[in-house]
Amino acid sequence: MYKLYFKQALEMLKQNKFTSIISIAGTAIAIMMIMALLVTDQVKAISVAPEVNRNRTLYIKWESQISKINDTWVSGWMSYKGYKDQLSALKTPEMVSLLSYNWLNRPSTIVSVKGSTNIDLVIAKQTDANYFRIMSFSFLKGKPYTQEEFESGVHNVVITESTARKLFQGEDALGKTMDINYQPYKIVGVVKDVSRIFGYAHSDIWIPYTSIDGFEKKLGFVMLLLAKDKNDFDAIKAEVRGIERKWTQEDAEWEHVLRGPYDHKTQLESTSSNNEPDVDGAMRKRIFMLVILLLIPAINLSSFSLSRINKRIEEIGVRKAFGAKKHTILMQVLYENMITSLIGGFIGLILSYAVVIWLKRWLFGLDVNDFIPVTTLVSGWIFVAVFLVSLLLNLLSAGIPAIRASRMNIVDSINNKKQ
Amino acid sequence: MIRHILKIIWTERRSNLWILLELILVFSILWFCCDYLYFMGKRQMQPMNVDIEHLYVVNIGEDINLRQQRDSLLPIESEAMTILERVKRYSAIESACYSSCGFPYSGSNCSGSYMLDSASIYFGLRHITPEYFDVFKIDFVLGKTFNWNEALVENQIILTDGDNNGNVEKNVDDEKAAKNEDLEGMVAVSSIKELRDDDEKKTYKVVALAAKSKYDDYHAYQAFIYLPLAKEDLKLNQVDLMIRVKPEADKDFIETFTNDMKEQMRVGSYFLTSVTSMQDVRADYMDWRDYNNNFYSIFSIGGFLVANIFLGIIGTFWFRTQARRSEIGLRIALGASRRSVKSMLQKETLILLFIASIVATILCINVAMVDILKDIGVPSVYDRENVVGKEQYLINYAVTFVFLALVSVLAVWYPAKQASDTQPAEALKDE
Repeated sequence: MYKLYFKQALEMLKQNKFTSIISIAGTAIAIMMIMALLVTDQVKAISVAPEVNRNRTLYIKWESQISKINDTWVSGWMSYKGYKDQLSALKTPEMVSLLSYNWLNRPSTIVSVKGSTNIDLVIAKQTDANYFRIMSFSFLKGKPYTQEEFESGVHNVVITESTARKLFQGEDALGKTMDINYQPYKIVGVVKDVSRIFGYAHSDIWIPYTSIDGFEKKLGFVMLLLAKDKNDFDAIKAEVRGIERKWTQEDAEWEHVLRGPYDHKTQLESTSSNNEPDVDGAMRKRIFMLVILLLIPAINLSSFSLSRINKRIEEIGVRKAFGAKKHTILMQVLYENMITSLIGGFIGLILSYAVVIWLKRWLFGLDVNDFIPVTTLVSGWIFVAVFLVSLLLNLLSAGIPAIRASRMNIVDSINNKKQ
Repeated sequence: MIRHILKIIWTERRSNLWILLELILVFSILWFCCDYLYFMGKRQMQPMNVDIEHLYVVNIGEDINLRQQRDSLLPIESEAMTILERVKRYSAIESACYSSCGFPYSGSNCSGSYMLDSASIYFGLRHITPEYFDVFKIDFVLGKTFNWNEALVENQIILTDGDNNGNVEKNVDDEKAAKNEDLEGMVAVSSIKELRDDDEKKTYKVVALAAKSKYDDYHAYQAFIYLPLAKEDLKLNQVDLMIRVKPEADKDFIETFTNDMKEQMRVGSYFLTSVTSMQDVRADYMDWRDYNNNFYSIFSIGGFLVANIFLGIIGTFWFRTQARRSEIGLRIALGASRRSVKSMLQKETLILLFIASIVATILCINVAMVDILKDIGVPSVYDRENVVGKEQYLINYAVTFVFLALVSVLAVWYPAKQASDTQPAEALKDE
C-alpha cells in the first residue's frame, strides 16, 4: 500500500513540476539553516580526537577577587598560587591539569634554530604532563614529557609536523634543539597538526610551564578537571565551592570567586572574567532562532499543502465514499508530503555542510587555511536530527490541512466545495 | 481600482491570511534588522579620528631574576627611556611613544571622575607621552601637544572635544542639585579651563583640545583626558610601546624589526617578545566584541527571510492564478489588456504588503518600547545608552517597505506573466 502512495506521490510531483520545485526549495532552505546551526553546535561540543574527553571534562577558566576592605575587584586568569595553596586538594576528579596560553590565539612566541637567522612566530601552550593524558594527540614521533620531566622544569618541547617542516625542512626534528623566546629546548615529540576548532588542544608547540622562569607569578592558567564519570560533575562542583569558601575564610583581605567548574557547553559561553556565563540567555536566543527558522517555512509550506489538497478534493471524496477511513486519508496526505520533505531535507543537509564550511571564519573563527576535521562534522546524530526536523516541518505544514481534508463531508468533497 | 482589489482580497481571505501572516512576521524581523544596520551605519560614519595604518604595538617582556639584580639607585624610567631612544633612532620608525590605557580597540580601559566647580564629570583616561598625537595622527582643535616635564610639574592635561555636539555631561549629587537647579546638564568642553581631583588635592590645567575620540567604530564619541605619564610609572609591563612606521619601510616590518632590534632592546631586565600590528589588534577586538558575528547573523537571517517570502509569494500567486483561470479568461475576453491583468496581480501583492506593513509597524513599535529584544538576546540597539529618534522609525518603515515591495513585485512576475498569457477560449471552456 505504501508503495502505491509512493508511486502516486512521485506522479503528483512530476505533474506539478513548478509547485513541487517551490515546495522542495522551501523545505531545503529551512533545513539548510537549521542543520547549519545544529552542525555548528556539534562541531563545538562533540568529543573527538584530540579533545576526546570533552564530555567528561570540567573547566575552571577565571577567578575574581573581591576586596573585603574597599570596593575593588580584580579578575583574570587563575593564579598558580590559587592552585597550589587551595585547589590541589581536590579529590573527586580522576585527574587535573593546568594550562596556560595567550588568549589572543595569535602567533606571538618567537622560535628560531641555531645556524639560521630566520625567526618565526608560533602559537604556544604551556602545559603539565596530565594534559597529554586528557587530550589524545597523534604522535608521529617521540612522546610527550613525563611527570618527572615536568616537575623538574626540563626544557623539552612537543611540536606539530608543520612546525617541524618550517624549522627543519625535510630533516627529522626529533632530538634536535630549537630556541623558544631565546631559550634552548629539546624536541621530544612530533604530532599531527591539530585543527583550530579545538580551542584547548590547538597549538604549534607545547612546553612544560615549569620551564618558564618565575611561572608562579608570570603565568595565568585555565584548569581542566577530568571526571571519572559524568555523574561526578555535581560532586566536583560541590567540592570546588567548598574549597572556595575555605579560601575566602582564610584570606583576610580578599573574597575569592572561581568562574567554574563549567561543563564543555557552558564554558563556550564564558568569555569574561568577571561575570558568570549567560547560559539561559544563550538558550533563549537559540530557541528563538529555531522557532523563526521553523515557523516561517511552515507557514509557506502550509499554504502550498492547502492548495494542493484542494485540487484533489474530489478524489478524496470519492475514496471516502468507497469506504476509506479518516486515518487512511490522513496518513496518505502526510506520507506524500513526507516525500517532499525528505527530498528537501537531503538537499538541505548537503547545502548546510557547504554553508558551514564556507562560513567557517564567522562560525568558528577559523582562517582560510584552517580545516574542519570530518569526524566533527559527520555523526549518527546528525542524520537522526535531519530526519526529525523534516518530520517536524512536515507535520507543521501539512498537519492541519490533512486533518481537515480527512474530516470533510463526502458530499461537499465530491461537489468540489473548497476549504 | 483599489476598492475593487480590496474586494478581491476579501473574497480570498482564507488563503490571504497565510500570506499576510508571513508578510507581517517577515516585515517585523526585517524592521529590526534595518534598525540595527542603520544605527550602526550612522555610528560608523562618524570618523575615529585616528589613523591605524602602519601602526604597531611592541610587546616587551621582563626577566624577573634580572630585575632583582637591578641597581636601585637608577631612576625607575631609565631603561624605558633608553629603549624609547633606541627605537626612535631605528631608520624605519617615524614616531614612537609610551601610553597606558592609551589605544582604541582595547578591552581594558581606564576612567575616572573630575570636578568642575561643584559638578563631577566622567572621563575616559589616557596616560601618554607627548609624541602620542604624532604616532596616532590625532588632530588638534585648539593648541598643541604638551612638553612632558612642564606638563608633569604644572599638572597640564589635554581634553578631547566631547560628544557629537562637543559637550560633556555634568553630574551633581542630589543635595547640591536641589539648591541650584541649573547645575546638571551638558557643558561645552571648549569652555573647561581647569579640572580638580579632590582626593589627590590637585588642580589640572587644560592646555589644548584634541579631536573627538571613541573606543571603537560602533561607539559614540566620549570625553577623554590625556594625562602625562608619570615617570615612576614607566614600568614596561604596565605601559605599551606604540610605534608608527614610515609607509615605504612597512614591508615584512615585524620580522625585520625583531631581527634588527632584539639585541638593542635587551636593556636591564627587559627584552623584546613580539610586535603586533594595530590592524590585527583591531580585528581581534572586533571579533571579541561580537560585532562581526552580529552583522553576519543579520545578513543571513535577512537573506533567509527574503528567500522564504519570495517562494511564498510565487507559490501563493501561482496557485491563485490556476484557481482563477476562468475569471481571468473572462476578463481578457471582455477587453482587459494583458498589461492590466499583470498590473492587477501586482497591485494585489502590494496592497497585501501594505496591510501587513501597518500591522507589523504597530507590532514593532510596541516590542521596541517593551524591550523584549534584550531578553531574547538578539542584537539590538535599544539596550545601549542611546536615544532612538522618531525619524528612525520612519526610515525603518520606508526602507523595509521599499525592499519588500521590490522582492514582492519580482516574485509575482512569473505568475502574473502566466496569468496574462491565458487563452480566453481555453480558460472559458474549462468552466
